[in-house]
Amino acid sequence: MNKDEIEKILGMDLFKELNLEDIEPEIKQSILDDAGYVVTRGIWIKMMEGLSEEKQIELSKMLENDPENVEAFTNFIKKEIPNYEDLAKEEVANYKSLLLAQVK
Amino acid sequence: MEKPKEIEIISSHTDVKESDKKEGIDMYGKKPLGEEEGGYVPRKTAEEIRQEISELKKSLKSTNYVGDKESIEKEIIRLESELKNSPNTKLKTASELAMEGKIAWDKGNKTEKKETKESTEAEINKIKDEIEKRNKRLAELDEEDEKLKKELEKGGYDKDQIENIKNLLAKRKNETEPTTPIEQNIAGKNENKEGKEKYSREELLNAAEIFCKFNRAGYYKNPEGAKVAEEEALKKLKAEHSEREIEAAVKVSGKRNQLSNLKDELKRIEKEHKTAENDPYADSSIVSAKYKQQIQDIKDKILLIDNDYNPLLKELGVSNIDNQLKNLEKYENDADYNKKVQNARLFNLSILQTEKLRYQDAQVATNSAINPKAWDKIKNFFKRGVESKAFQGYAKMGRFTRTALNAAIVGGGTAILWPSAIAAGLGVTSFLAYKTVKGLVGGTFGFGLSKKIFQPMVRGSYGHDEKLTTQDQQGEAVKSAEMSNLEQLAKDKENSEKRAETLEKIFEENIKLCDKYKDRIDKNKKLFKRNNFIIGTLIPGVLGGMGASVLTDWVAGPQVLGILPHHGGGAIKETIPDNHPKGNVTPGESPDLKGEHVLPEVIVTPKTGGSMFDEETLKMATVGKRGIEGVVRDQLEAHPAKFGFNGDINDKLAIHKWSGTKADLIAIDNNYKGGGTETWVKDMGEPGLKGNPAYPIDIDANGKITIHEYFDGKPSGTGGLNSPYEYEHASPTSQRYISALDNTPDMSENTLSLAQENMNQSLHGLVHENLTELSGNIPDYATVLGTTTDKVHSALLDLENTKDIVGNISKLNPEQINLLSKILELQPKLTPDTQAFKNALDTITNSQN
Repeated sequence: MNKDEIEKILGMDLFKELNLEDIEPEIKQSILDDAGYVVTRGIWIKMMEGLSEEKQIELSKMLENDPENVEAFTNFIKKEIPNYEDLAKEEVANYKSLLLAQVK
Repeated sequence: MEKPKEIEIISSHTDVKESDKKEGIDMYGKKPLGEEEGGYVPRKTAEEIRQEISELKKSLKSTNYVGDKESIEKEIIRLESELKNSPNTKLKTASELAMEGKIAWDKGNKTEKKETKESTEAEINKIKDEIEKRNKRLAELDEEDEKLKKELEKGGYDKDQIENIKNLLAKRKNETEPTTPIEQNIAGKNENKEGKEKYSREELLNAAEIFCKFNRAGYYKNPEGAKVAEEEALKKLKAEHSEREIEAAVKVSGKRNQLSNLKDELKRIEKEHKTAENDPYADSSIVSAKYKQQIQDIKDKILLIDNDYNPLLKELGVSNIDNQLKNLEKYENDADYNKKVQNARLFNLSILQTEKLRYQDAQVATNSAINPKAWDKIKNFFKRGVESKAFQGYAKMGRFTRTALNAAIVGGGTAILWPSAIAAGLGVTSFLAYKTVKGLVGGTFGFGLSKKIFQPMVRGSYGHDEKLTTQDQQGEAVKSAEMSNLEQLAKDKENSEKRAETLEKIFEENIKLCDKYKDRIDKNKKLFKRNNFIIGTLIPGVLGGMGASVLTDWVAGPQVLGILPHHGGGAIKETIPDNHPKGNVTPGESPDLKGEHVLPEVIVTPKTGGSMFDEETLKMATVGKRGIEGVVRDQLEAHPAKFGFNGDINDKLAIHKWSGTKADLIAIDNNYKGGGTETWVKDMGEPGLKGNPAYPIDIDANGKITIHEYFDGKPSGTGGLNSPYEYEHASPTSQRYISALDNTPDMSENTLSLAQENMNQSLHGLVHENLTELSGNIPDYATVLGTTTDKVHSALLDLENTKDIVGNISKLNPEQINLLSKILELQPKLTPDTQAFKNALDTITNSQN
């Protein structure tokens, strides 16, 4: 998937595309809960898989000991995974395209 | 056949007779294995070769003769080469295999291991040949049968001769029946035009699980119960899903399982590596290189599986929606057609999200086997529970961060804070928090927790009045100053900071309460789920008719970004179906019935008969202030020893704790709970024996606690869900969208650590030994434990069938705990693993007593 395609998919309104705009808010929220959880975890898995074993341990220690230290994480990721933003966007776009596959 | 190079090398320096060479016999008098297939397996083990090298190296140091040195060095090189080429030591990368043509690469970078495919095909062909032979034999026998039948028709045989011929015919019929499951499947494939039988039972069950027809992690009372659920699932799968869907689901689950199985391969590699590392004769550089190679191969395999998985999942989604929409075509003109289509789409989203979650669990588990130090922490971070680190960090987050990812998924065009949101895993934290907040208002933990959390809050707000019904109390709560403030806060767009602050205070309070009730929640999570009715009853009352989702939106904040439509102050969504009568008496702590309505449409036609319970018991068992489970609990507490309480009879708190769990289990056992539903009783008017159902309990001949049904003080003659005063309650939200987070067990349950698996293995070993040993002595064991033989037997069987005993320690019933304790106690010596487990069991037993 190229960058334009990724941006296009990110810009799509999921519920509108699926014709689910008028479903109950709590169901809508439940779908987002799931999608958010899956996507974030997917990004983490991709990021971790891209790191060396030593760096994986370093990152996991940060996560375990100081999970709210956003600055430390940001610095680590910027340094070790320079393409993290592309990686994250691609993961969301891939997943969204999977959910949108049912639309013809 | 041209000999492989390795054989030539060996032959060149050994004394092998010419005649033996012709026969292919080596200097050790052995014929090389596998030569006839063109392969070559070294006649020495890698271990032996290493030992030889080590000895040669020693002699190299001690010899002073140059000639000897040279020949020893040559021999070492030769042996090292042999070791390198040994199938036990040399492993090839996926790309090397591809070069050799063992893996096929196609345009989409999809691969298939030819070796596996070929061996599978060979196996299938072998079976097909066998079936063909059988069919041929069948034809021959048919011919002979015809002859025999004609002989019979001719007559002239006595009774015994006729009987013999008939027996012969029957025997021949049996001879031609396919015997193995694979043969039966393949035979079935020949007969079944739909071709659904081409998959094994296991594959079909995997497919059924994907379509929410079957839950492997579900609670089944016994193996028979699980079997019934499996049969039902397979039936539904074939009836409701197309062949294309089933094929897609089988492929998706197959690919996922392929990934999961790498975990086992990794364990084997790890074990091998440790053995090699401890081998004093092993060359550490070779050991290390081999290990690295193997790990790299696993990583290659992960990539290849990953590459294949997404297109397969997409095909699953497309095939499913196609079939659903096709099935809906006949309703095109119906008024609720659009709603049906929506439901189809929601179901589609649900199965895709749930399946992806399962796949990720497999990804994390496999990576965790490669690098446990790092991935075990990740695993814990993503644990789907209130105790996770991610969850605990929630309250300290900014709203914008929490919602950034949501915005990206929905496509609201909001700027994405990738670095910070992803860096700290905050995105997931917000979703966990969302989930939990939803749980607090009835989504996940349901009735019990909501009551425990929200009722004190409500009471704290305005003071509890015993004379009022819960409904009235809620009404009072809505009018209270605190709630008005909350409502104002919610509506106050300008003061969003203060609103967030207030809600976070509530949220923090709820976390504390969650912690307090965590054990209970963990123990009865499944049962709480079944009680999920609180949305639309308690919470709308508390929040003055704004609906449960308002609270979740406020806390996590998408409303602030305008992702979801505003619905604050809207109408209450009544979740109890319209066709159910109002004024329900719920299980557990039900509201006082004073002032509730008597329903004219309730027609009670109980059967009557003589009573076997005294009036006092029946009064206690009558539904009124309490629901079915509540009255069962009252009876348990009145006679704890009679119904199996083993602790201190004077410890009321312990008895109360015990009765809660016990009553749940009794309700399930007697079909008043289960499968996502629960039996509720309609409001029958004035409390008391007259005009109300009663549910007295007693112990039957097999030691099982049975719930009886009475009405008007007499046996009603009904049971289960069919009484006119009962109805089946189900959570309506589950009918439209089943959340992936609710639909899958926490990953900690299916990604066990090595230590946990070892511990489970030890325990299973002990259980299995005892099951075998005790098969003839169960009565004695029951006497020792002070229970019935049935309970001992079923406890042992259940334990044997519980994959993760360690992880399910809190779910073990008293018989299982006693049994395990006894088994461990009887062991002459415990391993550290089993000792640790015993300590945990002792803690549970002490807390129960």
